[in-house]
Amino acid sequence: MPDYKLYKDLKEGMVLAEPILNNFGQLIIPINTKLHTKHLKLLKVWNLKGVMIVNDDDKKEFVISPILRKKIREHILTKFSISNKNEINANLLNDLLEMGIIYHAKRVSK
Amino acid sequence: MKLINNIITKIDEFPTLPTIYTKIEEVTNDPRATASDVANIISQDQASATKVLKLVNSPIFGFKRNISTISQSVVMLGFDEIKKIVLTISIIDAFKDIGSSKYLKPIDLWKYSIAMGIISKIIAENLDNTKFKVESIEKVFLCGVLHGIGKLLFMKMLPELYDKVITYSYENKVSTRETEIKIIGMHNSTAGRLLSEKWNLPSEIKDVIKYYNVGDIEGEFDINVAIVHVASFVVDILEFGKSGEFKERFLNSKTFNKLDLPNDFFTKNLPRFVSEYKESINLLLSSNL
Repeated sequence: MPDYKLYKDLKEGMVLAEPILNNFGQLIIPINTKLHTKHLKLLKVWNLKGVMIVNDDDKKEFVISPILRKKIREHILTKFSISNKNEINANLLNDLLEMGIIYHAKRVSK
Repeated sequence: MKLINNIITKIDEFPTLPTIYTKIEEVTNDPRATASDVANIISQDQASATKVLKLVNSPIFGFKRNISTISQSVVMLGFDEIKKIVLTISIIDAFKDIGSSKYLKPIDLWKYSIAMGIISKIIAENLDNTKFKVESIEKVFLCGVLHGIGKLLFMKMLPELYDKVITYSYENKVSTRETEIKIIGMHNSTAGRLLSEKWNLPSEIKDVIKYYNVGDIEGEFDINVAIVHVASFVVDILEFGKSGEFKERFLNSKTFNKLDLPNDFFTKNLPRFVSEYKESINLLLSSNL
């Protein structure tokens, strides 16, 4: 999960998790750039408040055990029912559930 | 019946929105008004001016650059958006001191409401704009925040009675909506709509208050209602704050599908949901806002 870092907290070596664009949508610094002094100066010139930075934890593969996954999924499913179950976009619904599973699994593992 | 009449009278006597908001509304309705007219009104009220600057620079508005003056804010955001910012501040102020319940603290309900605003805003920003026309992202944010204003109103006007509603719903695992009817005789959305009429809030907000729970307006798709409906399930799943509802709710399949979000929308935006929510509650619920 990328972190939002204020300009004052940025350090050389951090990696951008989003491209930096100007007001016209032109690219100033691409995504995945490792920040150097020149980039930090550029961000200051553009008066940016902060940017999204790749979190080191993201590089490690986050594994959720099948037991934990099942437990969280069951917990989430107590919160709602679905009208016309057969009609729902199953892929999007699974993504909604997966979002909850990832979020709660990361909280539990902290 | 006596209680319902009493509630209606109390809503009628509920404070109007602050003068700063009504003044801005007056000025912005004048076609000859300039940005400096609006900026002057805000700048005269030092407390509001500080709050406006904080909000403008928050992730809610998503400006990447610092905005340091009120006049710059008015020029960058426009009259309508500034009006909404002042409205948001005014509403938070109006509900600062409200009664608490063992199972629902005001701070948790506020966190839930702000999360609803944030997630609704992110959904609106990600819609396919060739299919949907969202008039204003900030209005969607406001719709999300105010969807449950009736609960805040009950907590402020009828603290003891609403504590009974929440406690009964929690202990019996029944729908708070049904308990409201049983104990108070009025649903929070009805109270919310009465207040939104008194405050003359935009009609989209009134519709969201009434219909977000079912996800459509009597079977008809409505973009604001749909966004806030889907956002409410994201917020429930992520457990951002508390809604005061203890029974499972129905996800409207038609509405869910019709928004046509990308199939990886929720997992892809999870970092944004978390970071913008955290930043916004720190900002909006800090004692100095």
